[in-house]
Amino acid sequence: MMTEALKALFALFETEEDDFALLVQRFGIDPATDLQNCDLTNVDFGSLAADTLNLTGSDIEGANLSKVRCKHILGAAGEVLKIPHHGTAFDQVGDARFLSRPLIDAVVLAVSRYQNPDWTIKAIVNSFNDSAAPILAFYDSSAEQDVLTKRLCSILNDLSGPLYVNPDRAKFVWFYSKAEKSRFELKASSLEQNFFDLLRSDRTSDDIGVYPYLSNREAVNQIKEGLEGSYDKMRGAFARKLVREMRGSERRGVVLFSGYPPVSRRLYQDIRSATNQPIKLIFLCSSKLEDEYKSQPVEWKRLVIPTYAVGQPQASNHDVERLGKRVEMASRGKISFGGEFQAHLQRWRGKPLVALKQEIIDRLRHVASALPMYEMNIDDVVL
Amino acid sequence: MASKKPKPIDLEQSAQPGCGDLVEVALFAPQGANEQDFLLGADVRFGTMLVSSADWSKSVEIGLSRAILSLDLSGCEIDVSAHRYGDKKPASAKTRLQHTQHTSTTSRVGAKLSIGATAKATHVAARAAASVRAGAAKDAKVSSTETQTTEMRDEPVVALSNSRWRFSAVAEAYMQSRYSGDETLCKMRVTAPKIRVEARLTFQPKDIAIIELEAAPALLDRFKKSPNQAAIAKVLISKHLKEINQTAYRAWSSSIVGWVSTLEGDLKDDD
Repeated sequence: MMTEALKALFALFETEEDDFALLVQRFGIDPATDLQNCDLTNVDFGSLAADTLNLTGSDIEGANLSKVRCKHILGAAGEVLKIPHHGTAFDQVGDARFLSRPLIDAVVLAVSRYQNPDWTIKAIVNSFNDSAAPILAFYDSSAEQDVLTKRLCSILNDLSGPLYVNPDRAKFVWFYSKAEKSRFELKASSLEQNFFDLLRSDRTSDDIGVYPYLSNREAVNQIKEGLEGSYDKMRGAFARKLVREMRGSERRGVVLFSGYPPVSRRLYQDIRSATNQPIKLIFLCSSKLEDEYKSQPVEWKRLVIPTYAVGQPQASNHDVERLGKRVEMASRGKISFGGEFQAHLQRWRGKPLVALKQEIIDRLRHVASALPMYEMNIDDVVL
Repeated sequence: MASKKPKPIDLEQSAQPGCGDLVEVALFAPQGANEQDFLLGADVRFGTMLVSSADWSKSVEIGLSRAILSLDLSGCEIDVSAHRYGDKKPASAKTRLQHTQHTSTTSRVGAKLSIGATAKATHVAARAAASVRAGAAKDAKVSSTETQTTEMRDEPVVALSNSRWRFSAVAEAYMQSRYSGDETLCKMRVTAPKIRVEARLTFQPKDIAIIELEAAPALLDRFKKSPNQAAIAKVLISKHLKEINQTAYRAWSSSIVGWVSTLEGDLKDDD
């Protein structure tokens, strides 16, 4: 079968072009997804520009990443820090030596998007003791979604028991999607449409290393089956099937929706009225929805479930260290935390994480304001 | 009194080929199954795949340097106390004594040096076993010395945690023919009346090896010298393999599912 990829392969053999960034663009390769687990040995990435460059699992020995312009580089932490910036002859590193405003902006973005999965997980787990009310947490990146999903699944799955349901443990089913819904309206019909359309059409593999996998997939397929007709009909059918899959446990049921949009209040009411068993719903949503959540809180609470998101994360011992690494990575090793600044940041321990991030961002902006015009020739900056 | 014979379970194998030219898996129970346990075997074969341009002027032959077989189990579990195919002790290095003959008359000796190195040092420990054969004339003075060499052994099949097995090309750049099937993979304990074992053989884009490329010499020269083009070629090949994939796991994250074999069955009633 002559696929588009195969046509591209034979077109590649005829081109004289060797610029990796141009080849990526020309042959429709998505740096956010297609370069994972690849052999990229000795590749010169050139001035590849992308929002996300995901090199998770790839061999990048000898690769040159010094000129890439990407907001997020995933899976290359160890290698990125090897990019020459110390004691290398000027003519050998070229643009990599310049600390520019776009680079500062990328570092600021990396800091502002930092989240602490430990805190989020703890907040979700603690919410179990408080009530059976649905709970919402936001993730910022695809990688963070997977980390949160796997950690929650490992906590909620009883790995010590056999695959059949033990009556002493909560029945747990998880849904997973990588799809991103760009349209989001605070209307019950739109919420239901978004949710059911994704549920019916999504073919994302949910095998992200969570065990047991088969039994969950069977349960999810059972719930998805027969979602036909109007959205009103689907609402009733979904509630019935979800409740049926939750049976078999004397304790409450837990359902995790990772990557799915929040649901309408009336869908939640249908689920509640279909059973007396308490069912805890957990939603992990992209932080793109966080603005909607914050900007129209009254309307959100009137129409959308979950009503509550996990609270404001507090800075922990590890956050300063992790943020330091994130800054080094986003700046390609050119900006690092000094000892004095690190000690200064310890004051934010136990305070809102957002305040800690703001302090770092303020310091970065201060550095940026000192940059002459557009760029400066500099080895590195210690904050 | 004779002990009661365990009830048998009839198992049926079905397959979903993903990249049939590259891999093939068939699960089987060599001694059948019963309500207590059964031995699980997996016939695993590798091959090469040839893809050609529409006008047949260019072609690429590919193979695999590595793949992972993973089991998904329902109604049964691996007997952790039993041996698994590919179980390997952590210290696999072994020492041997090698006798080497040296001749004092170099002018009359025809020496032949053969070096066998692994094709891909990133996957397997670099190995260089050099042997010197002295074809000296009969009247040459020959002395004998003993040398000690350490040989690193690379295993083509290694049992991993979480019901997985890794298959690797050890002596060649890619895998060919049968890698598993003579020995049972593992022993299974039955935990429910309905059994289902799903084996998925997956590989990553970086495990794809380009074996041969046929095109105009000028194009080949340029391609061979360009790591950028070689990397893009492998990305495109992996995209092609995903596009032609017919398994239920077509949208699998970044892994490519080469083959899915399923073995399932129910406990028979007495009547």
